Amino acid sequence: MVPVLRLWGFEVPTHDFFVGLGVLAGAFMFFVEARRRGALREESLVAVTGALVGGAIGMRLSGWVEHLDPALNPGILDAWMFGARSVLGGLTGAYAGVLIAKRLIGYREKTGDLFAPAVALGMAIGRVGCLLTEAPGRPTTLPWGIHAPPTVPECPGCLAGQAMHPSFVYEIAFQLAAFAALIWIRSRVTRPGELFTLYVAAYAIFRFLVEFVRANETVWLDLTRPQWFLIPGLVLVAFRLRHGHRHGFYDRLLRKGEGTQAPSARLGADHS
Amino acid sequence: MSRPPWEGWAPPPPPPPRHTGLIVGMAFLGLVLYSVVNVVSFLAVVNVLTNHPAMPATYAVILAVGALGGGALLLLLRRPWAKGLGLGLMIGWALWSIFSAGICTGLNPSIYA
Repeated sequence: MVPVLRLWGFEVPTHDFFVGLGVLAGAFMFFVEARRRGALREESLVAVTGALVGGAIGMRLSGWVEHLDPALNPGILDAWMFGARSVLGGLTGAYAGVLIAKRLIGYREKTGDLFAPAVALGMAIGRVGCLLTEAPGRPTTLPWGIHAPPTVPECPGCLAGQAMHPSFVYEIAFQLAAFAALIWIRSRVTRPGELFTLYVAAYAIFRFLVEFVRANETVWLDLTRPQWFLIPGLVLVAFRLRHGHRHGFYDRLLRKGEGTQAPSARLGADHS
Repeated sequence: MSRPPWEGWAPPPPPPPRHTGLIVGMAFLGLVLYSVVNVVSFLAVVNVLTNHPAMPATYAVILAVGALGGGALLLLLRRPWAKGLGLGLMIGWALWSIFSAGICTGLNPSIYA
């Protein structure tokens, strides 16, 4: 565990350093993608502002709704001051922030495709901070299990000296693979917003599964809070993917009907 | 030979000018401005924290209201420079909140102790 980094004579909290580095890398990737798509406009800056402000608020306030029983949750000021730094809370807040910002300026274009590779890259880097500071995962007998010192907070496996799943390594590998896949398929998914939909779907499925080896507390039916949060999201994502598949949004990606047009494209041709 | 149907009509109005460069530049200025205010006020607040237990919460609220509320008011002016400055203040608040996890935003008073 490396709770503090020494950089140019200063002590920097490791977790926060990598979160910051991830945000910077994500911002750079957003800029590159926006330039590639010809979307370097003030509306994109407004969307980024919405994402950052919404993400900062969401990651803080996720602790405010930690328990179903409101009496067990901290007050809004306590949650704000001492709240958990939840990635799911941050992503949800960022999504809501972009929607609100776009609504405020009356911008109707889809911007999710600009964010998808940026979020994947930023998350891959940010999770390095989690790997170096937080409880790695649940105990395992697999040969790649890792150990962590007993001083790590909220880590029974660390206290017992057991080998544990390197769950953050799994997530870093997933995010890097997702980033590479998004770069590879971005020219094949031409329907605006669908690249973001595919990334969100993939991450929701992965996150639900990886929670089975994360060190998070299980609250009901052996499922963790993030898993309960994700269940309705997975249902929505399944309906959304089915809708996209039936309307041919992914035909080029799946190499279906090569030489023919997707239903949506035919529909567009009929109207022209 | 007949005249084209659009002849004699006024040409369409030109698209409104874009000020993306000015807005991005002012946003960067707003980010720097917020960062300076954040750091200077943090140093000032640290000196009085021990005598005023409620100071961190007040400090966090003032910074948030100043950056987010002030930023929103600037956006309402609908001038390119104001829009950029407002966005920059908001981005500055968000980045300091995320980067420092509160160490310079008044969000984690336990760190100051």
